[in-house]
Amino acid sequence: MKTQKVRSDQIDIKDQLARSQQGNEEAFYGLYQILHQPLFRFLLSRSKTREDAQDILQELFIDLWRSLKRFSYKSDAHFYAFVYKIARRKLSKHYQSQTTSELDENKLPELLADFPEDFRYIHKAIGRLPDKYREVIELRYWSQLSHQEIANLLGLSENNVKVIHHRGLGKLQDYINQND
Amino acid sequence: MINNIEKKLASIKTKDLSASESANLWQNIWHNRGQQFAWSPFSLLLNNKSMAAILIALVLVFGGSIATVQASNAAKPGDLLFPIDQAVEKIRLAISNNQKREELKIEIATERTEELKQIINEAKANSEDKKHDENIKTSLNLVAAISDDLSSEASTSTDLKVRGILQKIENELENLDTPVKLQLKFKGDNKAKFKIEAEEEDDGDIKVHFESKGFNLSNSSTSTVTSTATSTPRGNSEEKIKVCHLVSLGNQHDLKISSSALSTHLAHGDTLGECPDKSKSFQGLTEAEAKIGLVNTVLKYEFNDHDFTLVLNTTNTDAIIKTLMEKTGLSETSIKAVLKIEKSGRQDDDRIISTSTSPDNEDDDDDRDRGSDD
Repeated sequence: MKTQKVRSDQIDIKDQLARSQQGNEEAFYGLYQILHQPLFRFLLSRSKTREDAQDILQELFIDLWRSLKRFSYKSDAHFYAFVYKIARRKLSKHYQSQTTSELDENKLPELLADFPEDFRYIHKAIGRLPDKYREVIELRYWSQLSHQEIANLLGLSENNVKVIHHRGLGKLQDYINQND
Repeated sequence: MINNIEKKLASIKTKDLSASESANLWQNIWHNRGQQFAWSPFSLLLNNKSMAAILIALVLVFGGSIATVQASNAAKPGDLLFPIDQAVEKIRLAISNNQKREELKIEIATERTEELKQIINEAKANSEDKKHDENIKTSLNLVAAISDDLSSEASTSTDLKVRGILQKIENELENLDTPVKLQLKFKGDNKAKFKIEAEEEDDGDIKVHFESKGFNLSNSSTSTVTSTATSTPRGNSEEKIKVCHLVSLGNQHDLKISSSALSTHLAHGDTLGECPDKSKSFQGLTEAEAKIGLVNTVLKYEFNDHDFTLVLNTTNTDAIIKTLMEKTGLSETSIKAVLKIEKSGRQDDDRIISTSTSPDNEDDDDDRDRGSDD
């Protein structure tokens, strides 16, 4: 169920953005098309139910629409970073009252089409990762973004992301080994 | 080992949105884009000092640099904003004028904290979600505590407490470094929010940004919010703004000022928007004297503790009264009761100050010395 990855070079973000800012529905739909699937995947990594992720995604785009007027385009990366910032904010707002991110295993199949057998441990271990590692791992494996794309989103260099990614995996493995 | 975990992670496949889910979601987004999020952003520029006072007041009131206050979905932004705004204005009034502090202290603090308490209670009563209640309780606990102290009889100790608060604000003002950023949010659920954001600009001005979302501002019970939103666009220095000109406690009147003078007015305690009707009392005009000369009239009057001197290009009594009515917002009868008219054949005062609606000017020192006018 691999969906087509829409790349930023297939569409002129700056242009779409400018037209969206003027209230053009078609242009905003264009942005939606580019953004919504990877965003949804990212949201799934931290949502408890698929419905939650959809709700948050909807709010996110409404928020984005409303804040477009105040956004000034600098680069595609800047725009993506802006969007993911909204996503993170939405997520933390949605789940702010809940202390644990315990995953309901029964809900797993609605979140993921495919996952390893010991996913529960992996998920738990990811939850214990410091934020910067966790985020890179989630963007890499849920949103299925490249190192470069993640670097753009987080405002880091590609090498930096690679290092964080590698260390994150190491930490994950350590956590899992401890549990064994 | 890492390869192992990487492999496992790589096998994760999310359940993406189906085409129909994606289409439905888009429909919802487009449909709800306007209604659900009625942002009504408005900004105003204030000078450093007054803005800093707002920030400090908010910090004091909410007990933290960034406070997220959960409020009820049913609460209206006017209800929420106005009292806080008022509280800040009053506190600022106290800071900006040492003389006035004596008069202000308990009364203001009591009045405003009572209002804040009311907000909390309202929000608590209306909210069905207990979690939200907890948050608002915690965040506004400090206010309630202050309020309890101040609602008791005015005594030397309460007096000292209020002074202490004001002193603290003053100290903070002096120590304040840039940049200043503070966010205050009222949040019922994701659909209803109220936000104040203040940020220092490069040129030293501080921009305050108010936004409300999910509320209908035009139905708000407090006109102040709406009028502020519409009448103070940033950078438009020509636009006239209505403020409630406050001179001493209980004495206030509507005044139209240019937006460039806004910060000065706010700094001495004026509030944006029209005064509540009850405050339009003719007690504010204590003395009025018109010296009618050959070609013009020197009109001197004391309105709400301030002395005003105007030179009018008329010798017509009705015109003079009309001017006073405009300046003070009082009725003809009220003015006639006070106005003394003196006709003289000569101009005896050539040191007359040019026409102004207010004795204030941009000079801070002058502002502070205002008490000696009385």
